[in-house]
Amino acid sequence: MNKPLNSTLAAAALVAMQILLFNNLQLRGVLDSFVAPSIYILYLIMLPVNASRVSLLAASFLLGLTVDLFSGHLGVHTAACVLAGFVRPSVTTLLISHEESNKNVRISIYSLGLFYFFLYAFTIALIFHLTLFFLEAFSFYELHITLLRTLLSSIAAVVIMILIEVFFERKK
Amino acid sequence: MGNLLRFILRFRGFILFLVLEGVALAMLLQNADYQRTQVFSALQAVQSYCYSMGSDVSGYFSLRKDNEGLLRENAKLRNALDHYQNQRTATDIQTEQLNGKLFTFLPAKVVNNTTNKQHNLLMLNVGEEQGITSEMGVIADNGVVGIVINTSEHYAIVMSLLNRDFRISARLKRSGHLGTLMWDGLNYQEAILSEVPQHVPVMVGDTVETSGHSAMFPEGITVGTVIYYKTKKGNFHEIRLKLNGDFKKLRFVNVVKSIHYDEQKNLEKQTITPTQ
Repeated sequence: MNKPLNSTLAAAALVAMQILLFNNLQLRGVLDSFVAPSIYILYLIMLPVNASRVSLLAASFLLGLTVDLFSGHLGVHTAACVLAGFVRPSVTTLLISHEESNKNVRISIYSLGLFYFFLYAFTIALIFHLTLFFLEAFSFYELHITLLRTLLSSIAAVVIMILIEVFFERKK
Repeated sequence: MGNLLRFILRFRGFILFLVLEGVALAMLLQNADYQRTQVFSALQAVQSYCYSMGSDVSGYFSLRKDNEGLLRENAKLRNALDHYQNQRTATDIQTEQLNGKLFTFLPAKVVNNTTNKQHNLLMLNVGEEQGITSEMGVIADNGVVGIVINTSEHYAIVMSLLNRDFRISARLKRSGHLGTLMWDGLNYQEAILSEVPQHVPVMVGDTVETSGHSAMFPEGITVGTVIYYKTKKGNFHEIRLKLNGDFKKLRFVNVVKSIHYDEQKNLEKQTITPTQ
């Protein structure tokens, strides 16, 4: 299969998974309002190391907009995604060595190793969820609750992303 | 000019970021609160169709439970009816005639429902065609559900009790003292009754019910029971209650149509405006 088609399919599958499964996650009691992982940003995380900032921004805008359209609160996911897409190059330069960063390979646990992938994905997830929950709550009142939601959701999201990677990514 | 172009090229990533983020925030602010439900009506129609298909399927899995719930409610209503038929006195009949019928109830099915956001909404399978308009109350057999905030021809959007913007008047059943019922966004099984004066005796286990001061809801609908209370900043209790109903299992609800709602609101408006 050719690359762009493959990539679009991956995005569609992740967004579908988010809307149909993870947006309807049913947890017990207090956990329910604290764990709301957005796993579809895995697409943004996986894009090749040398992807330009402009293409990252375009991809994240479309991605966020699609999820927004299905969750009835326009703009929240878009804004969080665009910010995550914007900071991604800075995070990759921090964590990925210079010779690696020129390659046109997708970022995965296999190309980075589990530890660095976790670190990288967790940073992006943290930035994303922080923006998302602050925009959703739209106030700095009860700051600790928003921060706790961010932390728990980010951890849940990264764990799920690693599981998805392990299940669907074939070792090259 | 050349310099400007070079500047734009050099910072094109950042400029694009600002533009896209601006668009996203503009969308966010434009659709804040209730209006957010009004955009993309075409998409909403598709979405509601998908949701009602989904809830048709998932409905089969809970048929047994739903039936039990409906049976229980039937029995309760029949008992209540019996009770009232036997107990009606001359004065009761008189007040009934005086008040007229105040509320009518319209059954509806929940086609979409969220509980894990800060501003949760529900979608019902009734709309303008069935006479639903904004600001009607929604109740289930075991408590208050929310308030209709937007309608289309066949569907209605309800602001759930589990919404940070939700506020109605409620009271402690035992003492009759009023407070404001709202949600603090923490737990879908718990709500807050605030602004109850400190001198009011509260006990864990007390029942909280609607007061009838919010014209959308009839008086005396049970909301939940007190599980915890504390005194907050001086003069008021903040009471935490466990909700009677489970919002995750919500499938059948009743939309409350208050017959004198418009009249009450108009009267309020006329009385307030001259003083301002």
